[in-house]
Amino acid sequence: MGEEKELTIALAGNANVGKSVIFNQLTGSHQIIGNWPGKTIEKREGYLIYKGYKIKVVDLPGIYSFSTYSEEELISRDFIAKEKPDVVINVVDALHLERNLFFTLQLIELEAKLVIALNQIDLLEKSDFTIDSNKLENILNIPIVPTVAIEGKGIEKLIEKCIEIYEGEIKYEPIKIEYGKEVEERVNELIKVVSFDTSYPKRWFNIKLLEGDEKIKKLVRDEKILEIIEKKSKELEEIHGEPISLILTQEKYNLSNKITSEVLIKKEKRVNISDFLDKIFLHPIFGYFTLIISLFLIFYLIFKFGNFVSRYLESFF
Amino acid sequence: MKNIFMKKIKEEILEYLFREKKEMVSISELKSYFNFENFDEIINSLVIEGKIKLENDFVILTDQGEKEGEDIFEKHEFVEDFLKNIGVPEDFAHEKACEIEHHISEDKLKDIYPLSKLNTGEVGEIVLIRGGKGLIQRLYDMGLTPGTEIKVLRQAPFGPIEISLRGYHLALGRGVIDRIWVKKKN
Repeated sequence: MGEEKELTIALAGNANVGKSVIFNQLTGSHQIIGNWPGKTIEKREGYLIYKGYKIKVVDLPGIYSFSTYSEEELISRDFIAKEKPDVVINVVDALHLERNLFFTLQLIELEAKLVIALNQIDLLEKSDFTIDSNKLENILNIPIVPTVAIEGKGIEKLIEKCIEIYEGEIKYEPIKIEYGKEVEERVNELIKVVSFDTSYPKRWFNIKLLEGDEKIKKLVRDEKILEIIEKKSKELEEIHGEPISLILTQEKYNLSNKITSEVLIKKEKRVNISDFLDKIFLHPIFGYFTLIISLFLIFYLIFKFGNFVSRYLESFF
Repeated sequence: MKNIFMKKIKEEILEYLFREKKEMVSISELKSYFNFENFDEIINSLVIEGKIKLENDFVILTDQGEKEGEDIFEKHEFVEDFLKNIGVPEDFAHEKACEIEHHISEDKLKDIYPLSKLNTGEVGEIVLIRGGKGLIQRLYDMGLTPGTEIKVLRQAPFGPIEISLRGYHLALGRGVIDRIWVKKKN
């Protein structure tokens, strides 16, 4: 064996977008994949050897944001910011582009090197919409690979893109997320004041300071600097009349809304199967009937079939 | 000018009586609370308008008076919550709400409801979310920012509701949907 290059890839994205499936496709580990949101709170790691590269894959918990309201969010952002994986695969649910892009924008802000896996593209094809992924790629300036994780489609291309980014073959310059003039001015002023070294990206760190992120604030021990931060936050809140974190959240959503409306194309109207089934199963009256019928069928099968099996087993003794 | 002032004082009295509904309020108590020179005149005109009754020395709201008091009270709560939500300090918000409540007409508030009041299939635009910073940040993160259109898809009796926004579906618990105020769209 020649010299193996080692790199680390992290998987990040909203809950229920197929991260765990892609993780299993990449590492070939045999795990049971359930549907509980946030179930991957433990750090799941796996290895894969691909064309002479030893790739470590880390599956991060499914989250919607990097504000510190849950452990999962903290784990994810600290892993990306501090351990700096070589590439982060952002798994994006093609069916819910707008909400997923909001998270992508946060990853960009966290200065992660991204490859986007546009997952469940097959289900999108069946829906009323389609995504212009080339246009999306151009807007974000991030490599995008359409995938169908459960069928393993696009997985190999995903690995190749990751390696290209790692090797610097793709110039990685994603879209810049900029806020209003008032915010930008203060962020830039803060960057000059907060000069000490943290493992977090500078701009992100200072934005979080302005937002009043408790965990981040604790890293600043200088009373004077804290006072300056406090003053700047106050000024911003007075200008906007809202907490800064909310303003920035809104701005990011506005941006993801804008991008979504540019790349999401409506096709001819077709009946959505999921909506159609919902109409029957979740109907205020018929819903109960379908519940009773399916429960009846389950019990019927258990007793009828179970009876048959147990009698068959008994015949052995 | 005087009329506007009279109207305001009357509304304040009705609102106060509505707040203190469970307690009996005596005239002298009310007088010392409001401490206003034309007090007797105003009380008289409220009696004539049929909004309050005097029994012994106690002031009691009639049905009509109670309804008006409740209206004002609701407006006050709404305005105060709204002001707090946009970052006005608490005591100042209360004071300002007392002034603003008299100036908003019924129809401006008419179309703004908590999300729970919307029926299945109705569409609303988020006006504000009441609650602590944590809850608000959470809901914003999920895409429920002011101005976002949401549609009520399904309601379980006494249970959660399902809404659609930003191209996806979301189920919210009863406790949360009462905190989201929307402007109903036709």
